[in-house]
Amino acid sequence: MPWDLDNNRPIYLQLMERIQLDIVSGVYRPGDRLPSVRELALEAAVNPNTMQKALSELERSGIVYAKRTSGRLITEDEAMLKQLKNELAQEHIHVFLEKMDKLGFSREEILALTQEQLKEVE
Amino acid sequence: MLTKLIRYDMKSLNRFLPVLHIFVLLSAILIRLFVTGRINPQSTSKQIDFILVLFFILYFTIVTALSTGTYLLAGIRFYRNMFTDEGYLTKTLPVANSTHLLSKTIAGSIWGTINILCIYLCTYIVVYTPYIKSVVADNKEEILMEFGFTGKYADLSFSTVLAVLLFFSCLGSISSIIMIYASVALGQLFSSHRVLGAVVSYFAISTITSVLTLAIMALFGHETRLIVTAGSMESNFNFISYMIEVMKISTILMAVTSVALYSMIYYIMDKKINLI
Amino acid sequence: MNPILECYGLTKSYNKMYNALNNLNLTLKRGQIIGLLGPNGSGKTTFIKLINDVLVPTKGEVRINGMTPGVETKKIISYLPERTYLDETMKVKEIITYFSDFYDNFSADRAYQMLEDLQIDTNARLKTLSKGTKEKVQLILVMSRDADLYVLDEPIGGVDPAARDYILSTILNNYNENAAILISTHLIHDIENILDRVLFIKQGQLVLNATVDEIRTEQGKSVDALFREVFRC
Repeated sequence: MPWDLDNNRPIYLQLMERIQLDIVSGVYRPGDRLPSVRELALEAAVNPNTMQKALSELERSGIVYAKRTSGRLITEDEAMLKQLKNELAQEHIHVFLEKMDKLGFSREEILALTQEQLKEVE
Repeated sequence: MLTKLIRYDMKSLNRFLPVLHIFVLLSAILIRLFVTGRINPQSTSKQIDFILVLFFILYFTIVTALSTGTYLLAGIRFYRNMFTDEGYLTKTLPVANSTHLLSKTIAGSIWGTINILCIYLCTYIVVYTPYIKSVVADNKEEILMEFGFTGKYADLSFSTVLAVLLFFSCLGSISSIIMIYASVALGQLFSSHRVLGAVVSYFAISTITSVLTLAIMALFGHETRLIVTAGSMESNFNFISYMIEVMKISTILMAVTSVALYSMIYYIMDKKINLI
Repeated sequence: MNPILECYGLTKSYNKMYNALNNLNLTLKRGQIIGLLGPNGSGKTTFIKLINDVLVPTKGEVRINGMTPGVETKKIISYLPERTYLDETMKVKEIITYFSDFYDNFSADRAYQMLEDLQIDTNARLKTLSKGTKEKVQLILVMSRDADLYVLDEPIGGVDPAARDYILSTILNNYNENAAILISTHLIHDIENILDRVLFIKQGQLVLNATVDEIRTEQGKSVDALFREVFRC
């Protein structure tokens, strides 16, 4: 199944986000080997060069690292993973708050509504 | 590459042509069995003459259709394989245009030659009945004399005559094939009426070559002799020596026109062809 | 290593009044998947035919791996025209033999594997197959070669979406850094993600030559959206 990508933003950014999400959500565990560029490109149905660029960017951020013989591995640096997780969470919360803002809710109302919703889910 | 191309060109022609030739061969055998072989010379009547003429016309038509069909199919193969949608594959094979042309010329000529041999065989079957055979055997000297197998031609063996005939037929089919291909190639230059262009080109080329042949024959003084001899049956006219002269001139003419047309086809294929 | 494709002042006119391709200058490197985009009649197919030597340029020249089109370039280009170019009376397996006979870089095994994946009967004669199936057979033949340059003219035009996905993954599978793949299409949306670079052709001229991510970063929109803008009627 090709990855669901937004047409208006650079593809490599979206590929990075998707892989980061997979790392944070545990699809890949710390120390796991990532599939090869070709495999990932095929899975995502994107150009291998674009996938290559996304992985290089992830490498630069330190979230994955290259090992000479065994391809790219997920970092085992728990602190870094935790930070990534927090960053992603913050992004989502930011988007959420923006939308609620547009709907005209005040901060207090948002908090109250969220707490109520959480109780219901439980 | 050339042998592979020839194999595929032959394969394509082999889809129809053997059937066509076997059909003609069978009809020749039938005509021999039921018509020419049954003629009893003692009881010839006007009626039988009429039937005989009818069957010879029929036979002649069949044979002409066979030749036309053979060259037409070779021409169609050339056209379809080089200039229609199929040309997109043919033209993008890693093969030079000259090799394509050579392959198609060889395949076409092989079938042209088979065609002529088949016609010889059919004519032999239809005409050479036991009765004719006995007549020929009885009057061998006279017939040979009539045809002019005298003097320096007296020693011509049957195999020599056959070899000459075979060579001439082979050359004839090569030149006919080249003429067909030349028409198809020229037709491509009429960008909106390519098939019509090919037909027109064919008539144009054949008219030009016939006029040329007649002119050159006249130049060598043969044409006049043919007319004179046909009229008065001069005793010094020697059919064989006349035929040999004609063959010599036609051989040279066919060779020259074939080389010229072949070069033209190659030029068109290499420089002028735009597949639309 | 030579660029896989170079054009210098490449011009083609079918009649004196009008140039189907007008002074095209272009260099393409290996290792890319390139989209050749333009509306109908913009000169895409003319350009592709010139690369494949089925058209003779009016002016200028095109070079493939440094060579003018000819026997040597045909060995390294695998070309899918926008029409059915196979002898319809042949069987699928006969055509595979045909390709094996003429192309040294053709892999019959790969072709049979793909035919099996798409459940195409190798004993069927081409004329008995549907138009879409014929297109698939042609694409399989073309992609079963280890070529340096693949030139695909409208490869996904006539096939259903499921086959489209298979075809795109076949193209991706065949990608390697020594080869380049040039795809002409008007179905930009479907192939945008697999392209490195796009070329926009308008009235026989190159109006844009950029990578997909350049376009998205700089313009903030998809190639598809940009295309609609550039070629607005």
